[in-house]
Amino acid sequence: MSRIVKEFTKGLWDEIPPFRFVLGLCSVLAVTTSVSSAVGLGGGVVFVLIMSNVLVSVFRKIIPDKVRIAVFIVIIASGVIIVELVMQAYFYGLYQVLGIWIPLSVVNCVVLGRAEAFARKESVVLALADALGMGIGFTISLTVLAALREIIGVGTFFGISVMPEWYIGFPYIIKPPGAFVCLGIILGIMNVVSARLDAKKQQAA
Amino acid sequence: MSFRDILKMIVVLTIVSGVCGGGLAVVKMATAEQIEYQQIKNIKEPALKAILSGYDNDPVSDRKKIVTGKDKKGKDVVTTIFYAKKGGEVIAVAFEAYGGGFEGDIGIMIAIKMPDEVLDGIAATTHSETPSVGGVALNSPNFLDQFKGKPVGENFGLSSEGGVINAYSGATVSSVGASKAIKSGMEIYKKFKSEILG
Repeated sequence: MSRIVKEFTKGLWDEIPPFRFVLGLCSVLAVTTSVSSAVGLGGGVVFVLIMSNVLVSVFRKIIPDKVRIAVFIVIIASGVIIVELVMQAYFYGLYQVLGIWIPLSVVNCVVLGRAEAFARKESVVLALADALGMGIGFTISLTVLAALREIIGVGTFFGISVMPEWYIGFPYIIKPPGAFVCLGIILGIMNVVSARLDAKKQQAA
Repeated sequence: MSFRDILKMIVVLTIVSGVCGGGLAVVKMATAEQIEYQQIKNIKEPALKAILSGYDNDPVSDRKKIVTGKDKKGKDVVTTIFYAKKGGEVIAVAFEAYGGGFEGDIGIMIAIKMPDEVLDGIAATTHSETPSVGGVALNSPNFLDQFKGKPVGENFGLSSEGGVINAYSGATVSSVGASKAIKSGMEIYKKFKSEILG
């Protein structure tokens, strides 16, 4: 049981993607211009991660080693297409905003990375916990980055105005270079916090 | 590598691909109708709203497809007819027709008022005309309103050709394209009237 909790919580701080491994940055930088698109893509990735991790784990003993990547990609691609179709059918506005980034999450390193590094060696329950943790961590990362960019960039959060009326926005943050700056600031803060936490742990020991 | 290993690889890959493909086909079928509805709602509805009025139903739901011809490859050309109803009675029908403009086909949504069969209004849906020239004409109320209230049998050619439409000055080619689209729309209406209203 404690193992399950551990595999779940590691995705939320210790190994939170994309901040810790700096994986899957392409889509992360592209869709974080607004909180709603970040949450939308995050939700899609959670579904794909759960599906791929569970299926890979279930069939881990019968998938031949030499063709495992091909099998993983087929499973992941199917999950992504399901997300794309469902989004198109029920969240058309979001579908239009995310556009190419939905199909591109097939090659999101986070998804393939979890299948390769975790799910193909572990039991289904652990793989599910890992997928949930990593997926939620990924969504949180996207949301935090997007919130920072949307609030500073245009003064809104989820499209609702949150800044005083005189605030005219800072469009640079919404542009691609602004994404790198915000990402750097967040990584910096996380490293400082982690270092402090580690120091405290050592003192206690 | 033994023959058994090779066989296993082939079998596993085939089964995984087959099952995934089958699953996707099911999802595709399950969502097809809803996706079509969303696309019409988001792309065609603005034009429909602009030209239809006084209805109390959802014209996007009350639609019908009829085959109105064949293209060069012999495939059926399908026209989607939207019905505006009030109290269950059809008060107008709307559909899209196309005519060649300066830069490819211009799509025009045409609404025909029932039962007197006069044009209720037209609106451009898809076109690639130069935004500052043809695009202005296709969004200009002055140009578009000329069509309003004209009976279906009217000659929708430009006035220079004996028709009733004045070209938008500076955008003659786009005006001709719009006029062609309306003419072809009228042809469709006359030819398939019984199917459209049936």
